[in-house]
Amino acid sequence: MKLFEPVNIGSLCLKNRVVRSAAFEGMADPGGVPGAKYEAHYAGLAEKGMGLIITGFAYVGLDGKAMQPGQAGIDNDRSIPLFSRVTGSVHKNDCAIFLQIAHAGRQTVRAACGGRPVAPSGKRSWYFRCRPSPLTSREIERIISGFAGAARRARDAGFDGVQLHCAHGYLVHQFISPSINNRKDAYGIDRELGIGGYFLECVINKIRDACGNAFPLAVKISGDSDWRPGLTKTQFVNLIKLLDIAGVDAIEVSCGTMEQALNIFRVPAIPWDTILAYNPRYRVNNKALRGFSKLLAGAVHVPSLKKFSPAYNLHLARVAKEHTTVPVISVGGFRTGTQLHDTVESGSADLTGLCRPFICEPDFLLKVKEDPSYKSRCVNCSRCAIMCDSGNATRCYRIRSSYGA
Amino acid sequence: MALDEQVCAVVSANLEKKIPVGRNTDLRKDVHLDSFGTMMIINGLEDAFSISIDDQDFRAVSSVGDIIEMLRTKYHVGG
Repeated sequence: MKLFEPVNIGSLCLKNRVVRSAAFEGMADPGGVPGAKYEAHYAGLAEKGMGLIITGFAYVGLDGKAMQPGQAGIDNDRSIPLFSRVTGSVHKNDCAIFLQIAHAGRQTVRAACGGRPVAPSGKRSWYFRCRPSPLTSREIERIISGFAGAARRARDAGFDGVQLHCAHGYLVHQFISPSINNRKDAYGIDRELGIGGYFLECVINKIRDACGNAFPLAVKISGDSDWRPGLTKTQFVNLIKLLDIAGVDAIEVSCGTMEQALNIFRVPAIPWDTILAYNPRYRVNNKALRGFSKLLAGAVHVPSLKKFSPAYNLHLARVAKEHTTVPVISVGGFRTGTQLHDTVESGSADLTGLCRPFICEPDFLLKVKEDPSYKSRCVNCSRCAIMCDSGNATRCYRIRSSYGA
Repeated sequence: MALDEQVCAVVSANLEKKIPVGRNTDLRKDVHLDSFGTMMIINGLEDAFSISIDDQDFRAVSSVGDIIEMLRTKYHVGG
């Protein structure tokens, strides 16, 4: 396999094996409507040579809206013409685009989702400071239908497929996880598999019913999490097998949850200045107190932080590849052209996914085409991720100018 | 601070390598500006002047002086 060779995701042929993995945009209005900035963002990216763009997560229902301001929504038909403009602009540049669809579950706040957050269980989220309302069966069925409706709208808006967000601690991940899901009904943990797969299966089946089997359906999963106990290797393999049997068209393997989001991104040094100025959970308006807060939060978080290393989730993709023939996308820590080429050529993953390198250099892949060993300018500071909570559209903050931290 | 000084300060603050920046600084020859540097400067200007700059407009500039003129004429910055 070669990086710049075509690859199929279900019925869809991509021109190469580089994916712009989902990255939050912060470019929709408070009603989740994607406007001109959102469209221009994706139109611009589509010129930059990647085979597939996966949008930032769009909520499937208001009760699943995330905390970050500016999240797009695909929860009603009025958004179809607006998303159609986005897909039309992207397709002009021979690039495919999937809409990532998600429900935040307990990883949100009342102000965003309009009430008490919901989850498979009432287990408290430490980071989001909420004790969610456990979902009833009827509520679960409504959310499953919400996912199917969102996928149908995405198809009608011209998206080439959808990616179901089952990673990073959001609702589907909450159902999968034995440390969160303590239900005793069919949506609980399967004794044989050791994970809660029934909700996921229901969502996949309902999307297939709504959109047909030919409409590409990808999933994003976390191969490990910050919740304890996390997934064992056996449970992770069982999840891959479940997805294989369910017939999804691609599996993107990430890791972590928003409970300890820096473990999703991996940072060389915690950007405390940005966190204490902008993160709604840690914001300290009094600059004099920030030093104390830094010490306190550091004592809690630093011991559990995972360090950045190149292609840091690739070992999980390799495990997935051993148990499925479905194309596997590895995301996390690709910073050089060499890493991209090696990953695909060695068969460690079928596709490579990147977010942050495309935030600071949308033309990163064009540079890799010219120079196969090109190194990204992204230094993994992850201020772009932290600033998702600020209400500003996502961009690179590597060089601090006047953003006010 | 005059607009010229403000723009020079923003450009200088957003360069990876610190070099003296003046009105006549050429963005390609002197600064070797690439897509990353361009994005950093656009971000810095947007923050400094509370405006939203169209990337297409920036493609036409070649010097710091051009940026200043673009901000004056197209974005009505600095009176």
